[in-house]
Amino acid sequence: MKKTIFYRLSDKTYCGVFILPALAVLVLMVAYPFISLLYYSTLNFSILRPMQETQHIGLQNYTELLTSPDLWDRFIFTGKFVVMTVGIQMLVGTAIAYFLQRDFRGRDILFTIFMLPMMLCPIVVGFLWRYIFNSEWGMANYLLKLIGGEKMDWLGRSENAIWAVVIADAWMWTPFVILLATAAFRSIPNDINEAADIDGASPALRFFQITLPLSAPILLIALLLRLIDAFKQNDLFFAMTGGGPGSETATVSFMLGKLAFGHFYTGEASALAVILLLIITGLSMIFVRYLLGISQKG
Amino acid sequence: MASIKLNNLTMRYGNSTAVNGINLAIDDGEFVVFLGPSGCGKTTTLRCIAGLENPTSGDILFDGVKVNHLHASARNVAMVFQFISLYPHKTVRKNIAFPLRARGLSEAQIVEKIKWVEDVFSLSEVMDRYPNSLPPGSRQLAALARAVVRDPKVLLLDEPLSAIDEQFREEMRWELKHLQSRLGVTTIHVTHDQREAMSLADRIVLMHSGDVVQIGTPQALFNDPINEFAAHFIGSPAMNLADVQVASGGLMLGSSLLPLGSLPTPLSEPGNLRLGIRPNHVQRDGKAGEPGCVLALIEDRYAIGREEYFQFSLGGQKFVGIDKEKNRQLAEVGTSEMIRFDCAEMRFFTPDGIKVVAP
Repeated sequence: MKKTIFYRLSDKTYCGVFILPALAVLVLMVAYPFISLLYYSTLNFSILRPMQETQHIGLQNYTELLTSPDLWDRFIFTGKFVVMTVGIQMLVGTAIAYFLQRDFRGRDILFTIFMLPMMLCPIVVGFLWRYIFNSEWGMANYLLKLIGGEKMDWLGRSENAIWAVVIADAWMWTPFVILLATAAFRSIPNDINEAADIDGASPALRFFQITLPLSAPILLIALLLRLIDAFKQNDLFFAMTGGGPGSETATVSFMLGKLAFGHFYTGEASALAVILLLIITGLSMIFVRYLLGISQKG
Repeated sequence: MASIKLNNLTMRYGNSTAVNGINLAIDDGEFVVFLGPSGCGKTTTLRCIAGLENPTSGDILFDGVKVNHLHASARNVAMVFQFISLYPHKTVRKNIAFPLRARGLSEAQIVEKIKWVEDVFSLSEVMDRYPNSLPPGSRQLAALARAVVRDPKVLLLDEPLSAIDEQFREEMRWELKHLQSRLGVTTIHVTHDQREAMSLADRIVLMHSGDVVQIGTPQALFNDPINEFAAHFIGSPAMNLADVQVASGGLMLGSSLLPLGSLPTPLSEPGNLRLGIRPNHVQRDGKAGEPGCVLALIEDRYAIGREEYFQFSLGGQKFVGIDKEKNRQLAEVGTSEMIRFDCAEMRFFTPDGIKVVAP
């Protein structure tokens, strides 16, 4: 049999050949867009205008953005949304996982049902909850009336709308926390739980002193991923409130979308994207530091 | 401290029986070792006593009071596990403090108790380190400290030494025995290592397939095994066991006759039996014509330290002997020698392994 070309390559080249496709995709899909993003963020550029009319304006896009009170309002709103939704997800998710860690009849089916919302497409979830929160014929107001409450304008008032989106987001993403927390709880060796039993620990003491600290690394990863994701939440706001009323429920990333594809201020949008990237990278680095600290202990 | 009584304790998982109606009484302050091969039910019995398993039937009594319904945390037992006992995210000090905090002791009492075990177990150097940074020996010592710090009624040890290096295990055995007698706590130790059992136990409970085979002092089990399983399981190297036929003037092993001056008391009539004799009662100093002496071809020999072992066959059945005299010439493979079986140390079992008792 004739030897093919692959047999004559050195190991290094051989490996290179296999890595090449992935590398090409990475350069095309990540490196190139990122570098052009940095470049565009220094131009007064709009994709609707011919390139000839654009000029280098240095960091003007950044200074304009960071001195605009509107952007700071969006950051504050986004922060509020992130804290509320991730807080609920972590608390509820951990609590449900605590009850799902033990074996009982029907546990697997229950677990699967709990996982379902996460599998849905975010935009679908958005519209689903938009109907539920419809002030005239939505399920939310129907249930509210059944228990004797007043009809609420869920999506038309910003102080209600943030809760509506928080509920939708928590409904969709709490399963993710349940998934990781269950795995974390179940990974604690049985000997440890039995030792705590024999040591006379009450369920509460055992949970806070043994279970929680031992599953902290995985729970922190869940927290980090949820923070990043919630920070970028866009689809639910798009489907449920459209950023309204006014732009009161627009998150930073919603605003970014509007800048880029509503107003086509491509340069300014690029600058905002870079700012968001820096924030998320910073956030992640703090967590990674902390995680490494935990795993090195002992 | 407490005495323990097991009444007909049975544990079944589905169709398989792990513990088959055990009856046992353990005295206050006694050091009892559950010994047996893996799967014999020793750990399951221990876990039932701890309250980690609910027995299928039967009663567990502490000081005469039934504790079946009590949860592990309410029985005031302490336990040391085989591998991971300590909480990995707490320092040794916090590990030891945990059962005290769980019982709501005051801070001053906790400090005092910790100081006490720190001294008893010589732990001062490791108190503020994390378990994973300690060698297995210190880890188990710390686990033991955590177990006894709250004055448990019963101390349960589930193969606590098996994860420790052979070298250090010996040291730990001494330590454990010393501590137990000093603290005087009723202790049940589970192991499959007969040397560990022999060196630690006041009494050994030998188990096999969910049943108690024999209960007794290490010496009683060694000298007077109740059946072939006990004979084979205890002692290292294992007891020689061979099929013999009682004939006039001695025992027939295949075609070779092992002459006996007078038949030992249990043997009254001819028949098939199993002969058991420990290797240290088989010597190379036999004299032709004397009882228990027979000529055999040395097939193999090896030495462990100062102990010389030799192997030979009689009627196709292999025997191992140990040379006692240190200055003797070493056995030579391929030569025939006069072997002496110590007639007083022979044990006899029926063909199905039960000890033959004098009529």
